[in-house]
Amino acid sequence: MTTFTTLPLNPVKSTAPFVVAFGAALVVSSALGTTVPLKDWTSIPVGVSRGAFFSLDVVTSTGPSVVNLVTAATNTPAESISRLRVLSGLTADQVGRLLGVSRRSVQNWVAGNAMALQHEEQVSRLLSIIQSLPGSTADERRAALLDSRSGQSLFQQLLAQRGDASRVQTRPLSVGERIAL
Amino acid sequence: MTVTDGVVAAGCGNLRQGDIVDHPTLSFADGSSADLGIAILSQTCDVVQESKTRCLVAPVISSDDNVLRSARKGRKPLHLFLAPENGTDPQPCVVDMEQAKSVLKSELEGKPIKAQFAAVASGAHAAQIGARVGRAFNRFPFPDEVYPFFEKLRARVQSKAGTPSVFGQVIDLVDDLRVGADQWVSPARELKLYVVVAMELLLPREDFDPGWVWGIERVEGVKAGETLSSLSLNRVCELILANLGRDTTASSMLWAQFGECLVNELLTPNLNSEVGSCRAEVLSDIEMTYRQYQRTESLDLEVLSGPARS
Repeated sequence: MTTFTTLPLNPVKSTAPFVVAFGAALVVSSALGTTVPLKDWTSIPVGVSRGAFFSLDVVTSTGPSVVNLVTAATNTPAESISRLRVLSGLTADQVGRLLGVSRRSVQNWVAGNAMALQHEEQVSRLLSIIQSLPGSTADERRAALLDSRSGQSLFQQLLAQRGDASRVQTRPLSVGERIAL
Repeated sequence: MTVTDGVVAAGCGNLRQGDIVDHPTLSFADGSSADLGIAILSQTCDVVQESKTRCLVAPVISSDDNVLRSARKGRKPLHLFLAPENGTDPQPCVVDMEQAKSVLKSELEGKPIKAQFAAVASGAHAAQIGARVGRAFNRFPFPDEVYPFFEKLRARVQSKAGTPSVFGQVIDLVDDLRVGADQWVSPARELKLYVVVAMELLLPREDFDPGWVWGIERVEGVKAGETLSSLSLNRVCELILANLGRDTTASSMLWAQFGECLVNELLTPNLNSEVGSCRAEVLSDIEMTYRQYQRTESLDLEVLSGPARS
């Protein structure tokens, strides 16, 4: 299946499992569909540059397909973030966590502050993921993102893929050890 | 633990906090020598810093299994427990920080390094050693009067620690128990207990699945007719464990109830003139704010040891 869309983007309606790439290659199944074992999937990292067409290669367990999406050549960070929030129904805090920044950073972008290239790319990828979700409204896409019936929701999987800084604050004892002193 | 055949370099440039140096002729306040070696207590950056001329050290003490176990569990904060990050050889040891003293770094130069516990200077294990050293000196002085309030919680943990009890297993999943108060100096304190859990186990409420409903379809192990608010502490622990790795919204709801049960069953019964009220909040590590962190202290019951216990 090949779907080509132009902005304003209509959501790609599909109930079939899909694979998306966000940061490191991420493999997920449809948030509303059956979970497919990771070993059944392959994924291809997506190269995205601002103002250009990009391809999101979608490989399902039944074969590859490609969803070509278009980024808005004239999108400012503020417009991209606003679009992301409108399409997904996510809060500024949730968007911030997906991008590894604070809620204040998200608000600053919406207020017109410049965005680093890496974040522009992440926003573009996120937009493509959101648009690929089943559902035609923000509420439906949000529900698909947060569906936790199979364990971790797609939202949580995206968070987990982002990775964290290494932990440097540590406790000398576990909670159990401390209480049981 | 890395056993090294090396010696202390000029300026102690190759020493790290927690290293054991052979220096049997060094004597300490109680007149004893350091036959088993001395441990470096100074922070690594200070040890290697050329501008620093002295280094804080303390003797390794002879320790049987009981001393080792007690030190590992932190029962005597001034007994520093040093162990390898992985494996058991060579044996862990205990350092008596009560006898700490500073020595000239030049005095250590050329002495054999017997062991190096932190394989990586800026690694997690190095941080753990630093935290254990720090715990001896930087614990918040909770008032002794507050200690009885936590007695039931303490007794429950002591009786369940090391057993496969569901409560013990769930406590091990808790990242931190922090306590805050409206004030600590006078009776009638209003306490708040923060149960901090990793975000992988406890979702922020805005991340909850909007389609989630309580019931056997979404909560593993729940019985027909059981409601969330009716769960006992033991039962909610059972369900938390049963739902690990499953529906994260269900898991999050159960954790919230865990906090309620913890207060209702183990803390509220001990309310007294010193502690007038106690509430609990279960939150994930990404939800606790720096402001909350600054106004709370990790619940370390050793700091509550009053004169009656010493």
